[in-house]
Amino acid sequence: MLLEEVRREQEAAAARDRLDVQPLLDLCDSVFYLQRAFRSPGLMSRQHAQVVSTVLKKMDHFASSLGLEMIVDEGVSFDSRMHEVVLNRSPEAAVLEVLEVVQPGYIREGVVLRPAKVVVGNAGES
Amino acid sequence: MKSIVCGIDLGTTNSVIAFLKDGYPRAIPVEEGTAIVPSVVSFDPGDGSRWVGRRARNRRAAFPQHTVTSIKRLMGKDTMTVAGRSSFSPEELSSFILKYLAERASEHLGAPIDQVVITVPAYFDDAQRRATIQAGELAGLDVVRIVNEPTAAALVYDHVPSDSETDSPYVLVYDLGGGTFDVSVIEIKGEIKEVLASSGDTSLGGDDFDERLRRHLLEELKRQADLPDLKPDLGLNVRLLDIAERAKIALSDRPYVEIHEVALGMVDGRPLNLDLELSRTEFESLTEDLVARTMGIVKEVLKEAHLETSEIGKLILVGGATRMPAVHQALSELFEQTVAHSVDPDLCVALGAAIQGGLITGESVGQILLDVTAHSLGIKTLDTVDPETGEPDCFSTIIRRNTRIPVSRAEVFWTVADGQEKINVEVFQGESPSCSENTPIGDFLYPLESAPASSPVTVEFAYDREGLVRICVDQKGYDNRKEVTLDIRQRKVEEIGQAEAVETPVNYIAEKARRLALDERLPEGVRREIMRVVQVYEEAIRAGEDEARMDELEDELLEILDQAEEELEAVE
Repeated sequence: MLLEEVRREQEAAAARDRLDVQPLLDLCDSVFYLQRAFRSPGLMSRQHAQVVSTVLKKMDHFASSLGLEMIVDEGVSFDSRMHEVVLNRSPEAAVLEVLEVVQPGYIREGVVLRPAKVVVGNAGES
Repeated sequence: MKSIVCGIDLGTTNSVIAFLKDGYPRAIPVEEGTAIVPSVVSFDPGDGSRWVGRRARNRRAAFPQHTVTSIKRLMGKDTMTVAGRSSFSPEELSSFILKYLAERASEHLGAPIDQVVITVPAYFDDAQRRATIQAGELAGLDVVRIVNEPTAAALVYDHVPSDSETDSPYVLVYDLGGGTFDVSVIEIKGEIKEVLASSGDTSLGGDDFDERLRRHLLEELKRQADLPDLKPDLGLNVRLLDIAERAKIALSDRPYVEIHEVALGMVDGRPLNLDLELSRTEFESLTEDLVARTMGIVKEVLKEAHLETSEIGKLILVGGATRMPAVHQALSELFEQTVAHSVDPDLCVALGAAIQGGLITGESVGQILLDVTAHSLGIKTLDTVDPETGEPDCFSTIIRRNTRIPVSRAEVFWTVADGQEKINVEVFQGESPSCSENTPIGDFLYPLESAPASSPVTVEFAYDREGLVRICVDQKGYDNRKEVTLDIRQRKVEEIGQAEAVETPVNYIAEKARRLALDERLPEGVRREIMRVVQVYEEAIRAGEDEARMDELEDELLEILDQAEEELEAVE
C-alpha cells in the first residue's frame, strides 16, 4: 500500500499547490488582462485607470496572503525559471530583459506553478 | 550507501525518472514538484553554460539557435547538431538530459544513482539502441537494460490486479503523447514480452488537438467581435492556445466547458472578449479525423501482427492525450472491450522501467494496489426497456470500473417529454448494460423546471476514497441544481445544502412521514418510498405549486403513511 500512501501525499501536495488555487489564478489572470487592456493612453480617464490598478493591487495582496505570488513585472531581467519566452525582439542580445508579460505566471511556497509567458529583448527595445 | 537502479522514460517531448521503493514504483518529482521534465537542452550564448528541462524549454524562443528539442528523433544517426558555439552528437545531447535526471533524482532521494534502465520505442533499430546506451554511458550511468516502451507499460499492468479474465497473450499498447503516436502489439509468454508489430506517426499528438481547438476559438472570437478579418497577433495566439489546452483537459471529465475570457486583445480601443460554452461533442467533431488516423494505424499494426481485434486480450493506454474520452470510445468500439487506464498515462512507461530495474537486481515487486472504482457507476436511462416489465432498463455509465479515485465525471442526458416535471435519478453499480442485472445503490427525485422535451440535464458524479459519491444534477439553462451525497457502502442518499429543510419538515404531515421513514421496524422498501414521496411533497410546497397538485401529493403521502402505520400495528 506504500505506493498509494506516497501518491496520496503527492496528490495532497498537488491539490495544495494547484487545484485549490486554480479559481484564484483564473481571477488574477482576468484582472491582469483587464488592467493591461486599458493601459493604452486615452482609453481610460486617470481615475478609471486608478480603479483598475487598485483592484489589481488588492488582488495581488489577497493572493500574497495565500502564499501566491504573481509573476507580472516588466523591465526585470529574464529568468528562465520564472519566465517562458514567446518572442525575443533582440535575437543577438546575450542579456535579455522582460519587455512584456503576455500571460502572468505564479509561484506558491517557492514552487513555480506556471512561468509567465513573456516577450524579451534589450532594454532599449521597450 | 546503497545504489538505486532507476528507470528512465527518455521521451521525445518529455522524460520521467522513477525508482522502486519497497517493491513499488514511484516517479520522482525532480522539477517544481513535478516528475515530467521537458526533453530540451539549451546553452547560454554568453558563457556556454547548460540548461536542461523546464528552464531550457522556457529559453527556446529566446535562444532558438542555442536550444535543442526532440533530439530523440536523431538518435542513431551520424549527424551533429549545432547549438550555440559547439556542435553535439545526438548521444551527447541525450546524455545531458539523462545526467540532469539522474542528478536531480539523486538529490531528491539522497542516494547515488549510477545504474539505470532506459526505455526506447519498439521501432528503434540496433544503432538507435546502441546510441541510447552510449548516451547513458556519457552521462556516467551504467545502462543495465534497454526496454521497449510498450513492454515497460505492459510490465506495470502485470503488477496491477485485474478482474478481467482473458486467455489471450496479446496486449495492444496505444501511446498518444504530446507530439507523437505509437502503437504496438505485444505477445506475453510468461516472463518474456515480445513486440510482434509496432507503428506510429511522429507528427501526431495531443498538441494537434489543442491546435484544432485554438483555430475554432479564433473563428468564434471573430464571430463574436464581428471582425471576420481579425489577424491574431502573438499574444492572442498564446492565450487562445492556453485556453484551448485547458478546455481540452476539462472536456475529458465533463460534457461542457464554459469559457469566459476578457481582453484577449484590443481593437480600436475595444477589448476582445470570448464568451462561449463548448461541448465535448463539438470538440470531438473538430478532432474526429485525428482519432480516426490513430485507429487506422492500430488496424495496420494488427494486420502486421496477423491478429484480429478479438484476439487482443488487453488494451493499455500510455501518454497524456489518451485521457480524452474519444480515444477510449474509439478503442472500446473497435475491440469491444474496456481499456486499462488506471495507471497515470504520463508516468506509466517510467514506472515500468523502474520495475524492470528492480527485477534485474532481484528486488521483489509487489502488486500495485491502486485506489480504483471496483464497479462502474451510472444511472438508469430510457434508452432501452426491460422486455418483461416494459420498464426503462438502460444502464448509462458515468464512472467506469477501474477508474482512479478520487475522480469527477459528468455526462449529459435529455428529458423525454415536454414540461417533464421530474427525474427519478436511480444510481446503479455493475457492468451489465441492463440495470436489472446491476446493483441499485440509491435514488432521489430531481424536480425539473418546465422545459421542452430533449432539454439537457447534466449529471456529475464525484467519487472519493471513502466510498462517497457526490452527485450534482443540473438542468442546463435554468437555475435548477441539486446536490446529494450517496454513501455506496451504506446505500444512503443525503441532500446537500438542504440540511435545514431536511431537519425542519414543512408541516406536521411531513414531520410524521420523516419520523416513520426512520423507523427501522418498517421494511426498507417502505421507508424509501415514504422518503421519496415526502421529498416530492416538500419540494412542491416550497415551489408553491397549485392547490390541486398539492392535494394530490398530500393524498398520496397520507395513503402511504396509513399503510405504514398499519404495518407497524401488525408488528406490535
